[in-house]
Amino acid sequence: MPLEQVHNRIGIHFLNRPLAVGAPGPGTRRLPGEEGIWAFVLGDMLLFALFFGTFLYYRNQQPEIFLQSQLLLNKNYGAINTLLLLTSSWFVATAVHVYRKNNTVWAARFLAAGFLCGLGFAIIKVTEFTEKFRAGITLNTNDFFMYYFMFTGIHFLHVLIGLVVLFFIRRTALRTPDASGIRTLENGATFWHMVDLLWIVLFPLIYLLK
Amino acid sequence: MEMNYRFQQLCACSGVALVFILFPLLIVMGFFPPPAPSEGADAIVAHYANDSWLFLFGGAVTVQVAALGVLWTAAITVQLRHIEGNLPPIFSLSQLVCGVLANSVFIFACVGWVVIAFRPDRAPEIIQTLNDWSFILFLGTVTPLMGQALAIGIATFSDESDEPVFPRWAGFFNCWVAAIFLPAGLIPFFKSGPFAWDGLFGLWLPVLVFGGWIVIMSFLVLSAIKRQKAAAFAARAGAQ
Repeated sequence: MPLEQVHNRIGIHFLNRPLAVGAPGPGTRRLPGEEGIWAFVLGDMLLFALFFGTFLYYRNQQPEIFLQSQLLLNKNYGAINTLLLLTSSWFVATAVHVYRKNNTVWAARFLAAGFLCGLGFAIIKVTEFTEKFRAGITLNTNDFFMYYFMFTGIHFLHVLIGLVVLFFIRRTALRTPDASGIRTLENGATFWHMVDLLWIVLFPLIYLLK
Repeated sequence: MEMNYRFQQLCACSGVALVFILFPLLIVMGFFPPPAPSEGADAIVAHYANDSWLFLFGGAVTVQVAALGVLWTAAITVQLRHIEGNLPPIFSLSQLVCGVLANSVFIFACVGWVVIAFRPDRAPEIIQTLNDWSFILFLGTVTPLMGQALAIGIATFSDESDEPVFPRWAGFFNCWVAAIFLPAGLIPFFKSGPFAWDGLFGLWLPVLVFGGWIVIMSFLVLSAIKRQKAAAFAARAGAQ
């Protein structure tokens, strides 16, 4: 059996073949984007896994302070932001899907919708931080708020970078789909899904965990 | 022509040399773990008083070996020039300037430790001030290093040639390195915990990733030089 057929059968043909234009056929599996973005995503998630572990470790050291401080957080902001990021991820995934089917106009529209949801997240996050600062709550209030500001702040930075990424891949989406365009869109979408995924862990960990 | 490529290889290796001289020195000087930022002036004095000659020696050597980092930056700059070709040299220039700035900052930080050890009988507050100064410079000034990593990363993505200078994963790797350096920039806000200058995100992770980054990039540069050297010699043989 030729090597390519073997690769196809076990689903690793993306390793040695340029990306195909159009939707993947039935029964074939392909890694979206390229290996590099997945290595980056895993590396970044490793950093956040360390964040989560650190948070749980220090939470066990002083559970009362963490629980009392958690009550001062606005859960509604957290919940709305979760919905916004999930919706945004759906828009971006759909954009990639329709782009693969040569529908550049709707791909760009879905990406713009995803961008706006992400922008909504950013606006709510800034409102939330401002409210905390006005109430005299800062990084140095206690350990809980230190981790709250640091972890959600670093995540917020990821959201801002993600928005820049969405802005640029929207321009790519207006071009006629080719292998490089699809790869760019898939890379950007992969990063954006990671931002979403990290928030889905951060939100219950910081806002809800009892 | 042979000399040119040999020196390029030497510059690339100087990054590895820097890591292998710097890390043992810092460990011997007792900076892993470093004196905690939460410690009082007297505890800081005690940290240096035990082996003040060691700090004088270690600090004086690190100030000098920092130049190895500049040579390494030069080797990277040449590779980014290869990527740019005839385009304006924005990646190589910003990488070069950031690399030189990062090395200068590093030298200033080390000078603080040398100054402490130069007259170890100074008043405790002065020693504490110099210690704060050195650590906040050493770990807290991360933007030059982040700029260097991002310039390499973006240049790698911009490489459109059939035989790219760096593999594409190196672009993502450099972006990740920049992300890991970021929390170290926040050490001025913390006197204890994982974000302080003796914590996981303030010290350990950035410093370990820094060492790995230098070594990995050195090997990537070496392999690029090897290919370019072979191509250059083949072209010269063809012209004769």
